Amino acid sequence: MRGKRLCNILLVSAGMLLCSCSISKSSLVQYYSKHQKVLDSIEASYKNLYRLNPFSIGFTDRSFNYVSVTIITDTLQYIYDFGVDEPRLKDTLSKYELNETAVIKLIKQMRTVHCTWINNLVYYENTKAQPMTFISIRPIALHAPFMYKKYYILAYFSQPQYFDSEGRLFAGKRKRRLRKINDEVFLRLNDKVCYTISENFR
Amino acid sequence: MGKQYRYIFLVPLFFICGTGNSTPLRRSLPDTITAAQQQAITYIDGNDTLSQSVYWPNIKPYLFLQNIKLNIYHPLGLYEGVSTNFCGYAALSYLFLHNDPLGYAKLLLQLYKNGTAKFAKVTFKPSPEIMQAAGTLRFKGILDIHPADQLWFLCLADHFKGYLNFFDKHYDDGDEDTFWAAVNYAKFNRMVKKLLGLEVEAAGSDLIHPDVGDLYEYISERIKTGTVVLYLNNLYLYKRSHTTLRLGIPTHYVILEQVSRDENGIITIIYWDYGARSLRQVTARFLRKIIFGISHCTKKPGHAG
Repeated sequence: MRGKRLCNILLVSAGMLLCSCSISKSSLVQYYSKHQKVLDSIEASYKNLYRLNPFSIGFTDRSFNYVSVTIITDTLQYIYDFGVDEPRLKDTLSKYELNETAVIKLIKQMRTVHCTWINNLVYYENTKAQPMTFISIRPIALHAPFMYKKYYILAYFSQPQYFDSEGRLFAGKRKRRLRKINDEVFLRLNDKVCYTISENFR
Repeated sequence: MGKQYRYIFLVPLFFICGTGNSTPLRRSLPDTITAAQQQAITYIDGNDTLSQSVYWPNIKPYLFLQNIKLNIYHPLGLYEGVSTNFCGYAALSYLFLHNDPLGYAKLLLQLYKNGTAKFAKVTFKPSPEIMQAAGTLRFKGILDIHPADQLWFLCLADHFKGYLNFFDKHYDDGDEDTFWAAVNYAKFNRMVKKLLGLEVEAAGSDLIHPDVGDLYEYISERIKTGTVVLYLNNLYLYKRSHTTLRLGIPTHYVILEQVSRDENGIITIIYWDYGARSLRQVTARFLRKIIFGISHCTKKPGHAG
């Protein structure tokens, strides 16, 4: 009898733990509508800066104090880690001729909405390369210790995409194949922006 | 029993080489090419009337030739694809393209024309599933439009087997991302020896760090006399999440191109992976933590290539 009760308690606890691990998609949609202006502005300024000098930015710690900057040149990718307030960051950006004021502003903006990673990805449509901006977010609400999937991922496309009735992102008009990004299925936020929830930010 | 359930006990060992976020460097025509590269290009140009292969129905001949030519001109641009387990095969191809571009061109053309090929001590007889899959892999970045690379990586994974492939020896759709394509350290060294005929001095293993004393000294000595391949933990090299606990196992192969140490003990490494060369500055402790295998590859004395 006692053993049965213990078993029930364990089952209920496990159930509660599992519930705490699941993230509702509506919270992501809410998050996006709340921060849409900032996120769209982050994406727009990143895209403009990337056109001049390709780079990507990611926060390497949970408290958003350390940043990893990848600067892509024709011959080499320079991957550097900095404290956000370290003077080395500015010096490095200027050494590689990145617009240091704009990049620092971007990093600060990313910090305000807990954006962990921003990068330009290339996908192929009928052998033609298309750019896409990949943004990962680690919202405060998702910091539960046993949380499996912790990151909201947003994909900004430059052209309207194809979706099925469930809002899943498809490759091409005929909707034969789901377009997976980093092996994840994405869902529609609007014609050009999709989302998923992932265990990894990159 | 569903295929996925058979791997439950192997889950802690499961890895994916690809971070999926690497952007291969922009390619432009090289200023100079070596005589060996030129020989390979001439050989390919002699096959420019290549007809559609009956063995590889999803690979168009002109795209195939374009792809292998590009690899010979730009071996650094070779990209294993997003989320795949092809990094070991890409590292092997780096060695192949640098050591014997003509051999690479001949082997790939033979595979395309005849469906089978013999090279050095290896006879490739790809399975019908591989032949159907090559050219159809999608959402893998630039690998999507590189059918020859798809063919080549799939053939390597189909032919060479190690203990990580024990439960999945048969290709099914999507297996490029699973244990079917995984490369353990001994398998990697075996592939290099058998296919490329190189001498491999290997230190390290799949689970235990190499016991080589001063790691920096060991690596910098080896790099002077051959090509150094590092087998390392990708989860530390490219952080993908903020979790404190990460699996301490190697997951990725890179080619070390340069290494130096400054007066503060900071080590600068330049390595090749994901179709690009990257520069990182790391501490000696971090380097020790991520490296599980060091393969020093050299040509055998009297080797003509």
